[in-house]
Amino acid sequence: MVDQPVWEQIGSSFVTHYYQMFDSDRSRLGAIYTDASCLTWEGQQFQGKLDIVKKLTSLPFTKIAHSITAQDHQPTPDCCILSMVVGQLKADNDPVMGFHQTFILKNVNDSWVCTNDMFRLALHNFG
Amino acid sequence: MFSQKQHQEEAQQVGSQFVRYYYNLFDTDRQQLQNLYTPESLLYWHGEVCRGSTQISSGITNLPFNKIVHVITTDDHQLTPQNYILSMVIGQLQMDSNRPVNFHETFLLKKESQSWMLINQAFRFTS
Repeated sequence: MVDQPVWEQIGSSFVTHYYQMFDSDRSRLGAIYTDASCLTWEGQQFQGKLDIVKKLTSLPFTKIAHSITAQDHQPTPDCCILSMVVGQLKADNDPVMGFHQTFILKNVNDSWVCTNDMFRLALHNFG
Repeated sequence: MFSQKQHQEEAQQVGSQFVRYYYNLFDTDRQQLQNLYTPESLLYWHGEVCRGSTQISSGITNLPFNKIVHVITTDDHQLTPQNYILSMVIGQLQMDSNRPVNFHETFLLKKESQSWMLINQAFRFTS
């Protein structure tokens, strides 16, 4: 949309591209991280592109599909973009589960990379 | 010099303390939250945009409930390249005597003078 702020366009393109890559061939995700990137996956922290891709490619499912329920993108004072995603995913034959993810995107040499990534499944302790 | 790991540990500590402080203040006297925001702060509240401490504080104070309780299920924290702290919270909240609902919230903290200020924030109900 012409009237959409630039950070929304960038953020929304990024998350679409991210989940498409994740779902089709997550070994290619290295392209969007840098050596300074940080991933927190279900509470475990990984530092740098190599360790991050190692973690993501070692996740114990063959097939995965993400769908985005809601997304928010904001400009930050240091010219980065903060993106928050709520969605659902289905891994192999497991039931559909909710997930939460937050990204910080930074422009490095005319390309938007992910410097910070946090992922959690939507599981709550009721009661 | 601190190692990257030590910096991340510090971010974990500060972020963890901050979110607990934030929800405690929100639940006991949410008018006081104004002091945590700057004139440039940005809050997206379930898709609605608020900018600046006055507008944000007014929006939060005028939310349509008397009593609220937040319970954190999980909270993750990372240091960003610009030394901001990124925090992602998943939890449940209860407004007045309504049934508890799930929420997802992301905070970006920046150090100004000696205080950590909330410069970006996004909140969504997820159930």
